[in-house]
Amino acid sequence: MSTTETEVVAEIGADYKYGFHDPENYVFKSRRGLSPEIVREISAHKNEPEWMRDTRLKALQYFEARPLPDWGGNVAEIDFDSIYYYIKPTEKQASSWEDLPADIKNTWDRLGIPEAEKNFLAGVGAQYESEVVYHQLKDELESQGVLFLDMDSGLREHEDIVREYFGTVIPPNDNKFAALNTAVWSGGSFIYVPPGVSIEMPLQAYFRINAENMGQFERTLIIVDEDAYVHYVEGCTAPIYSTDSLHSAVVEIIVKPRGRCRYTTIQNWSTNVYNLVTKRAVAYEDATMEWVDGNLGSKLTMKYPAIWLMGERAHGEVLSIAFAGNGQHQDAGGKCVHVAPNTSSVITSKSISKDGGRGGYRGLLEVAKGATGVKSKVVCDALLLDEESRSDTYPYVRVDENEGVSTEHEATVSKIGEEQIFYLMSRGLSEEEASAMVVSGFVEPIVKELPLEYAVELNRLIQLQMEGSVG
Amino acid sequence: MANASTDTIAGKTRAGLSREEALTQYHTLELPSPSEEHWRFTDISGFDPDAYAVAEAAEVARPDSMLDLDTAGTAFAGEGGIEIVSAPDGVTFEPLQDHELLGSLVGVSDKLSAQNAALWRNGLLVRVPKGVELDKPLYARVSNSASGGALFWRLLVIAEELSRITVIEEYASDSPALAGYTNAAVELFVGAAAKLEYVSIQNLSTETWHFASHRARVDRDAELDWVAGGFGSRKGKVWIQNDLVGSGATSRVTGAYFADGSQHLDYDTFQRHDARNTTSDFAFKGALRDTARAVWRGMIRVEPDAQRTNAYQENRNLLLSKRAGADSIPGLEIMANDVRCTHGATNSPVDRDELFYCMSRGLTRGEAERLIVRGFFQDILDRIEFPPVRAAVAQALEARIPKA
Repeated sequence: MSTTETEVVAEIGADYKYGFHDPENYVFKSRRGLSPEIVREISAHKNEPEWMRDTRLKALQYFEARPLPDWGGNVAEIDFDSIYYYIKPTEKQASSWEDLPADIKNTWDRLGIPEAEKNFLAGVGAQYESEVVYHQLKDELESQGVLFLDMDSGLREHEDIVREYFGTVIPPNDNKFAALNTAVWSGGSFIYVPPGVSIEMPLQAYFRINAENMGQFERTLIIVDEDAYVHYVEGCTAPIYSTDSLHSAVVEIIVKPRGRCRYTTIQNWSTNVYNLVTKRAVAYEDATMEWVDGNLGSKLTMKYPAIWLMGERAHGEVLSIAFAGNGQHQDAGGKCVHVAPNTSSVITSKSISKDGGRGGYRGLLEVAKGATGVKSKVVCDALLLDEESRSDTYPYVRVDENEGVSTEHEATVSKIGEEQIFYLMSRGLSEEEASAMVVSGFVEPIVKELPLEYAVELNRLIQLQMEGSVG
Repeated sequence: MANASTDTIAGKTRAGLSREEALTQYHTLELPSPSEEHWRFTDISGFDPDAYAVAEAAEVARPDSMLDLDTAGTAFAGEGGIEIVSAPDGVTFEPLQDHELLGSLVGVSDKLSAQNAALWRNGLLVRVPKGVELDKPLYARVSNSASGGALFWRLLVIAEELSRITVIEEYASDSPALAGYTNAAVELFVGAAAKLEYVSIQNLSTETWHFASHRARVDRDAELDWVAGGFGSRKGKVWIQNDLVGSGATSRVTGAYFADGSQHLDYDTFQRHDARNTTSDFAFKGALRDTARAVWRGMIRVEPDAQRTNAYQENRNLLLSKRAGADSIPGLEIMANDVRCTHGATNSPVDRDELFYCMSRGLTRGEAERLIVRGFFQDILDRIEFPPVRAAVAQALEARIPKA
């Protein structure tokens, strides 16, 4: 990193880069709190079919019946009664960039969406508050039969597909927060890739939280049919507010035989957001599922992208980066459950803790009975940058089948090597630059898997985080 | 999980309870269930501690030992009593009575430890004064011999500053099909610059429920070298905790286990670094056959002031049949930054390539497999310093390796 770049990065400011917010201007906002009436209201407002309303109400019962998790991070401070569970930002979906309200465009300008647009992105579905208001899908995708909609439109226009798959990967009663999401979900992406279609450009959607105390409960469903391929990119930023905000998404992915899906997330919520997300994919014969999961923001993230390897020779990969700064707890990780024979998986986790932050890995590797010939490897590395920070590793390995099965797990926790810093400084770098470079190198195996603009953004964010790290 | 360290032995220990208070706890507390994190993979719902009779004084059995030892002191204990056969001069080696340190490391943390605290009758106290070194080991054999009987056992070892001793503990059953229940609590104090070698080998009948809590406190510049061997028992749980409380303290725990039939072994280990410049090194290897299962949990916790910690934990399982199973749950909770903490865990069957290679050189499949199993355990055996213990563990493993 050159000095000029350091200066450029420094200019971006010590304040949270995306910590601006626009005045509220909403068409519909539910009352605070949660009750069957509010759930009915949300469902009625969206004109949903009866079965979805019933699913929501059932899920609400599950949510209320389940206790808060007593492991992971501290979620006891979430005040579920002070949250708005549904806000609809503008009356109808805009069809082109020019039609969008100025304050929404203003927000996205700050996030660099127009530039992304220029970069031949296949489609941009940006979520502002709870519902996707802007959507563009390239003609060529439409002509291939690819569906890329917000989830609400997906339900309206393709009810049969949604009904077939909704809640099949993550049942409403999977865990407390998945139940909550099922009860009050709004927005998210709905993607269907027909057999044999390979989408070369990543599909992207930006998510934002804007109203104070507003939970965002997007629901994403991705179906990759046989021999198809899609790379979906989800990036999150949120303005800073003084009271805590809750983000609890559910992402369900079905990868059919020989299909391949890659799902990339760069999570950078402001540090007052609780980010409690359930992500799970099922991969059938010869399919490949990859989660690339970067967690930089939020107050508390509890997220363990999972892959169930259901068909023979399916392959799963989870790449996870967590960067925990001051006041942050990143409880990240990944899960691979091998149900079918000759399946394979790799989980690679890199976590960095700094300024009293708590980062870590929590995961599961399970080999079910009958899943012969499974190969799996889990590698977790953690860097601790100062004395106040903390790192945790909680890997679980459960093997119920032995024939041809081999599982490996390794983890290390250490600080930045003094020799590395000394070497770089002897080549003329400042201590801060040297530390930033070592950290960049540490996360390199995962950053190199990101699309270019995300890799650049992630590197910048890490440099921002590293500012002032050397006293 | 996140709060794992607080619900290990340390967190809930309530020392200084009277027997009556402990008994009340025993009656109040439920048997641990799989809904509790540490018992998730060890379901003991078929076990009823009240179904085992607490025996009155009876003759202490002396089943065959696995070890061939020349000892400085020997004790035999059973359901009904403890016999000190020989004791060295200048060292306390006597039946355990009430002691100020008793219960300070292993107190009441659950129903089973409460039962031990309330009902134990026989135990051993070993106290080695400052600077005393014993060349020969101190040995205790704890045997259950009463069918349907419960055996409660306590061991308290106090190795004072600069002392050097070896304490060997062997759990055995008087007959191979004896149905019983053993419940042990072991507390080890390793004083400044002392060295304690502690060996605990368990070869109980496969009809014995075995629960044990072993915890050591290692002081400044002290060294603890621990060997744990697990071959017998039906099901249960063995807790192993090391607290490194003084700068320069070192602990090394070497574990070897082999289970077959329907045995279920559970090792729950905890390496707590509470001082600077401390080192711990835990390595457990196990082989499993038939429908046997092993659960291994490990946690390395480095407290904020424990800079320059070096901690390692390793668990490797060799699965010798299709229906054997293993759970490995290593864990790290690190709150200091100038540390080196690593762990590794593997589960694998006998490597087909290795098998093929050996067979291509003329070995039968059975011979090849035996060779591979021996090789698997070799580095664990190499870690055991005391030759008779190394020989005994090697022998116990050898006896279990499938015959050609």
